[in-house]
Amino acid sequence: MSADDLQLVGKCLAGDAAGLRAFVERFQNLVFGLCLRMLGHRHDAEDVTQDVFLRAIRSLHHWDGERPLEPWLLTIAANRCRTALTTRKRKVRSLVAEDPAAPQPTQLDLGDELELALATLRDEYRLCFTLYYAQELSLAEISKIIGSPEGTIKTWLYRARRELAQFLRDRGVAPVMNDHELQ
Amino acid sequence: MNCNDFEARLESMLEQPWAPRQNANARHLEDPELRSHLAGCPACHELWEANRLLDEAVTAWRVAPPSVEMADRILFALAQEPPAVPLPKAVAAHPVAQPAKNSTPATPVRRHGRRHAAPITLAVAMSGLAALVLLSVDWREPVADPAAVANLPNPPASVVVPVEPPSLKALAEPDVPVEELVRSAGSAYLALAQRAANVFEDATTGVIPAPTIPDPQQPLPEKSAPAWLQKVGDGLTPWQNRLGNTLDQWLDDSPAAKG
Repeated sequence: MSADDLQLVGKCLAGDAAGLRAFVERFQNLVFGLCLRMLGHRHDAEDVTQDVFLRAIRSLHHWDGERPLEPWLLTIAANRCRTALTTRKRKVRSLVAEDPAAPQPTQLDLGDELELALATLRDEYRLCFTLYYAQELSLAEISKIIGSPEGTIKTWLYRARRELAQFLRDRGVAPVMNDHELQ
Repeated sequence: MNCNDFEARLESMLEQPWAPRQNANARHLEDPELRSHLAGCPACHELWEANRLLDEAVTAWRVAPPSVEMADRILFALAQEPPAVPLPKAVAAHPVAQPAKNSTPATPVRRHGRRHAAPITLAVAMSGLAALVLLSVDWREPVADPAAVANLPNPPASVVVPVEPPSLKALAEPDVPVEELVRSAGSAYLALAQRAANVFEDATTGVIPAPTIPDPQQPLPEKSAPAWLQKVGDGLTPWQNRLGNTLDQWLDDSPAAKG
């Protein structure tokens, strides 16, 4: 926990409006990034990001100052994303059943292809993958955020990679560079 | 190295966080054992290529930042929500936190369930305990020995003698009069009800012990547990009498009795 973050939290708890704004601006990319990758929809991600910050700011007095702030925020964000995904599945199940063969874009760059592939993953795989690659967290940190054993996280991550790679191959996506070292 | 070793190697690469691992592919290829296996195994080579492709995709994976007014939106929402805990002073005083002149205050939701959580939990626990005791008791066992009850200093006016309810086999016997069967069954079920009441009383007394042993010569304190139980008993007595009278009347009016 950095001194800057402690100071920022102190300002928020003291009711300093500038502190609250700084708090949001300091962590909004972190939270929004996770929400957008989990939900795949910008508007939904902004709604959930707002919800995450409201909850976090209201719970700041419960936060343990000895622990880092980012994993705490990411835990709240992960839980809110899972709730949003569950709600969304209930809402759109009938729509998906009506149109199972929705047209998919064909000309995409590699990042967009990955985004498309991520949407096919199970929620927990997608969460692991996002926390590992986008937030660059270790397995131990992800384990604490999700609340599952490290071994499970590793397995989910490995399966996520395998499924994503398969999806990319099925889409005909080729590596940018060939592996000349092997030749 | 075989294919299992190769897969294990791929999996173990995940044990390091992503950022330091970005050039791990090249480092791993420096391993001659890995290189020779990949050169001779098309399946693992394909897997390796797929992983390389995924790593490239992750590197190209970008997320656009949130909209610029995200902070404004969050602060506005924070100020608008009814506070579960007192809002920070600066937020509460912010202009956006002030309600519009024509707005109506939100009706607070009252949570009745939480207010009565303890009594409800206690009641459920007591009922569950009584049910468990009832289930564990052999109901055919006599409630009390009538002779022993008669020797009590203050014997009750009537003692229900438990009788085993008639079996279906007995009902099929042509020589057993129907009113005999009904009377027998009624007595047995009354005894069962009495036992249930006793068990419930015991369980309640166990949960809410009386502060002192009441003096039989003195009236019970108004708010004591025994007084409360006595009130319950008094309230049930008319129902018990009514049930008995109805049963007797039915038996008297039956064709067998008239015959």
